[in-house]
Amino acid sequence: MTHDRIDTHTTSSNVGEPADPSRRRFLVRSGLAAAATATAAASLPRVASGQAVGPLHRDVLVVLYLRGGMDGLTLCVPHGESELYARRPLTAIPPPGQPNGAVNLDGFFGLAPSAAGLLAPYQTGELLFVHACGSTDPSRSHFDAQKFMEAGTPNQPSLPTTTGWVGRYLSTATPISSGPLRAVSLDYLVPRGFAGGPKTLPIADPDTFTMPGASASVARRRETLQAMYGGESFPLGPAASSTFSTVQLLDAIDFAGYVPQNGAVYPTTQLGQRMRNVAALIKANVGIECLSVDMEGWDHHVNLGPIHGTMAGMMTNLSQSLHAFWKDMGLGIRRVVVVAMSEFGRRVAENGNQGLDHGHGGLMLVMGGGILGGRVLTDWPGLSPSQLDNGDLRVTIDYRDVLSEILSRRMGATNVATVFPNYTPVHRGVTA
Amino acid sequence: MSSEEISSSHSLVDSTLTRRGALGVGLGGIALFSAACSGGGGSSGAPSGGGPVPPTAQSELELLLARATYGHDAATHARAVDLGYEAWLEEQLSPDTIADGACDALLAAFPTLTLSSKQNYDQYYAQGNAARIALELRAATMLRAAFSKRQLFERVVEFWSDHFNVDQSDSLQNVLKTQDDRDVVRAHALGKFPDLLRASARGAAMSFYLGNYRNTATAPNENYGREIMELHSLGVGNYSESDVKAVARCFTGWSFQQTNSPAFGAFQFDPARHDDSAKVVLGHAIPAGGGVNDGEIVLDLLVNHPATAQFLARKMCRWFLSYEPSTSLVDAVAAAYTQTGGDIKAMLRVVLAKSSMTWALTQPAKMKRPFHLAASILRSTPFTITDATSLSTELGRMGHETFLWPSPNGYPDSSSAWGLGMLMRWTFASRLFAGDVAGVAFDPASVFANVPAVELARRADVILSGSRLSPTEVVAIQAYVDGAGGVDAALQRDVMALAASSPSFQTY
Repeated sequence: MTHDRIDTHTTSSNVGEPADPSRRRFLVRSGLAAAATATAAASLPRVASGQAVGPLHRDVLVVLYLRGGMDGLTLCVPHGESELYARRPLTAIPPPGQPNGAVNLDGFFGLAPSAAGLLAPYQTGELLFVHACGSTDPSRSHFDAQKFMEAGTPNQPSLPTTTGWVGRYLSTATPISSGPLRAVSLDYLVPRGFAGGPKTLPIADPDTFTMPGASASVARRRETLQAMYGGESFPLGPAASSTFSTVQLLDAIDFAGYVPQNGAVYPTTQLGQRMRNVAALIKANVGIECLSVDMEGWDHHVNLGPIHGTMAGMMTNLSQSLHAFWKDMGLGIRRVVVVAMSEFGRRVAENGNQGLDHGHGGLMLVMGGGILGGRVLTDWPGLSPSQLDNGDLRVTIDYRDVLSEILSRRMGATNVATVFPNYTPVHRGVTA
Repeated sequence: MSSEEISSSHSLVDSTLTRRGALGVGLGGIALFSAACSGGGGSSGAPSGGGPVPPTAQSELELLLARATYGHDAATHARAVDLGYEAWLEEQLSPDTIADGACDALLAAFPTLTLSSKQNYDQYYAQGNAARIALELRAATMLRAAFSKRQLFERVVEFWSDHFNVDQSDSLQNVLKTQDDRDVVRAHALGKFPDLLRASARGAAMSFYLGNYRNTATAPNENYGREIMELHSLGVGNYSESDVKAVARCFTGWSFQQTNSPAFGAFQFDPARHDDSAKVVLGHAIPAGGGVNDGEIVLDLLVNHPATAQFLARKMCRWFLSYEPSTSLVDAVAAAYTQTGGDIKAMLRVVLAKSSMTWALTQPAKMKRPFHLAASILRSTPFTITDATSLSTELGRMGHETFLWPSPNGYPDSSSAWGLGMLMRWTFASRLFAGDVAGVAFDPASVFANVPAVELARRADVILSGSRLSPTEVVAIQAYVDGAGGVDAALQRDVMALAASSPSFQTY
C-alpha cells in the first residue's frame, strides 16, 4: 500500500458499527417507528473520506439481477398455502417445524433453510421481501422479459429499448459529485438496465483496474491513448475518457487490502467477492451512485434442489453474500438500497424433472436502512388454479412501483416519468 | 440478449463508430506497403445516423476482407487482390479446396478434437481431466480463427456457435461440446440450415444443455421447445405459449446415449418416454402416434417458416455487414434462403455480394468482440506460440472466453455491449506484446529489424492492420517513440501494444 492510498479500513471505521441488537426494529408496521428511522437515516453524516461530497444526500443504489428466473416460491415460501404442496409434491420447502422446513417469517411465508442468512437483516427491519411482484410483461422468454424489464418498458414493445432504467435515471438526475464515475457494473459488460447512462463502466475487478505495462512509461502511454481516443465519439471516446479518470480514482483505493467490518465474511464465490467490492467502492465514497451485480444460473428446469441441491447452493451463496454486505456496511446501510430482482418467477406446478418451467410473478428483495423491512410486502393472489395467470403466480405488485418509490423517496428522483415511461407508479410502502 | 433485441437496439450508439481510412493511404499521403490493395471504386457515401464521415473510403474488396476474415494479414490480402472479389469469395465458400496444412499442424497438439465422445469420456472425463478437453477446444478455436486460411468458414463457425450457444461450464459438457463443434457446427456451417438445425436437435450437447434429455411424456420440460423457436429459428413473437408447450411435447423422448458404450453421445429416441398424443404446432395438426416423427415435423415446420428465413437473414447481415441492416438486403438474403431450401452458401453469396459491400461502405464500422480482437492481433503479427491454452484465460479477462456464455442466446454482437470495456483490451494488448502471456512470445526484431526510429509507428500500423490506423493515431504513437530516450525492445513492444489498443483496431 502506498502512502497516498485511501485506507478503506480506517475510512470506513466511522460507519462500521457492530450489528448489535439495539438496531433491531420490531415495529416495522408502525408509522411512528418508520418515521423515526427515516429521521435517523436523513441525519446520518456522509462517510468521511477526504473526498468532496455533493450537496445531495441520496442512497447508493445496488441492482442485483438474478438471471434465469429466480423461483420466489422457494426462497420465500408461502407455507400457509396448501395449494403449494399439492402442486409441488417433490420440490416445495416444507412448512416450519418439519424436517428441512422453512424458517418462519410471519406465519404465512418462510425462508428456505439455505436462505437463512437473510434472517438477520430481516429481523432488524432492513430487508423487505416483495412477493407476487415483477414485470407485468407477459413474455416467458428470458431475453424478452429481461429486455423489457431492464429497459423499464413492459408491455410497450413499440418503445425503444436502447437505454435502461438506471441509465435514464442517471442521465436526467443531477450528479452527486463531479467525479468521473457515476455507475459501475461489477462485470465485463454493462447490463441493459444501465445502458445509456453517463460515466458508466464495466469493472469486473476494481483491484486490477489499472493501466497495464511498465510503471516508468505509464504516464506517456496514457497520453498516447488519450491522444488517440480524444476525438472519438460515443461509445469509444467517452468510455476511454471515463477509463483514464477512473483508473486514477481507483488506483488510490486499496481493494486488495480491504478489510470488511464487523466481522463480516464474504463467501469466496464470484457473487461474494463482487459484493465485497461493492462495499469497498461505496465506502470509498468517490461519487458512485449506482452499481450493478449479476448472478446467473436461476433457470432451474431440472432438479431444482431446494434443500440440498442446485438452488439451495445458490440461495446459500446469495443470502451469505447479502448478509456479509449488510454486516460489513454497518450503519452505512442507511445510505444504501440493494434491490434484487429477476425477469420472472417460475411456474407454480413442478415439472416431471423435479424442476420448474418459466413462470410469471416473482419475488424482489429490497435491503437498506431506509427500507421498511422486516416483513413480506404482498397483495397475495393465491395459488389455487383459478387464481393463477396461465398456471403462474400473478403479478400483483409491479416492479416499477418498488423501484419508483426507491428512486423518489431514497434518491430524490424527480424524473421517474422518464425512467418508467407511460406508467403511473403506486407507492407501496417500500421505504420508511 | 437475443439477436432480435440486438438488432433493434442502440442505433445511436452503433451509428457513431467511424470506419477508418483506406489501405494504402497513410500519413501524409505516403503510399505504403499494400497500396496495390486500395482503389477499386470505394464508395463516398456518408454514414447513416449522423456519425462522423469516415476519413477515407474503402473499396468493397477491403471491406469484404475486413468482414470475412479475422483481420489483416499480408498473404490473404495478396491472394484476394490476385483472385479478385468474386473469385476470392468463391474460394472462401469452398473451404475444402483451400489447403490448410499449417493450421492443421498447430491443431495436432490437441488430440481431443478428433476423439469420439466415448473416447474423450474414457480418456479424460473419467480420469478427472475433463477440463483438458475444454481447454483444447478453446485453444483450437482461437488458433483456427487466427491461422486457418479458411477464414470465412471460421467466421461462419463463430456465428453458428453463438446461434446454437452451448455453455461448457458443466464438465460433462466439456465432452459433448467437442462433438457438437465438430459434428454439428463445423459439419454444417456452410451446408443447409435445415441440416444444421436437425443436427443440433439430435445432438447431445444441446440436449444436455437445455435439458431435453429429461423431457418426457410424464415430465415435460419446455426449455428446448422454447429456445428452438425463439433463438434457433423463428425468433420471438412468431409463436405462442401453447406452441411452446406443444413443441416440448413433440420432443419428449429425444435424448442421447448416456451409457458408457461406443455410441455414447449419439442421438437416441425413447418411445416409452414420448408423448404420443395429438398436438397442434403453429396451427398445424400433428396426429397421435407419430413417435419420433413428431419432432421431425416440428423441424420441418420451423425450417420452412418465413419467419426463420427473416430471422436468420437479419442476424447474418448483422454479423457481416452492419448493426442496422437494410430491409431490402435482409429480404434478399431471406429470399435466397427460401429459394434454396436454406442453403447457407447461397445466403452468404447475397450477404457478401459486392453490391452489399457497396451499401455497407456507407455504414458505421462494427466493434470487434474480444475474441476477434485477439485473433486479429495474432494473425497479423509474428508470434511464437508454444501453448495456446493460456489465451483462453486472457479472453476470460475480457469477458469473452469461448463457449462460456451462460445463456442460450450466445455472446452479444453489438458495440453497446462491448464498447465500454476499453481497459481490458489495452491490458490484453500490453500483456501479449510484453510476453506476459505464457506460451505466446513476441520478438520485436521480427517486426522492427532495420526499421528506423521515425518509422516505428507506421511499421506497426502496416503489420497490424495493413495501414488502417488513422493519421491521428499514427502521429500519436510516433510521438510516443519520439519522446522516449531511445529505441529498445521494450519501446518496440509498447508501440505494437499501443497500435493494437487504438480505436481503429477495435473496429472492423
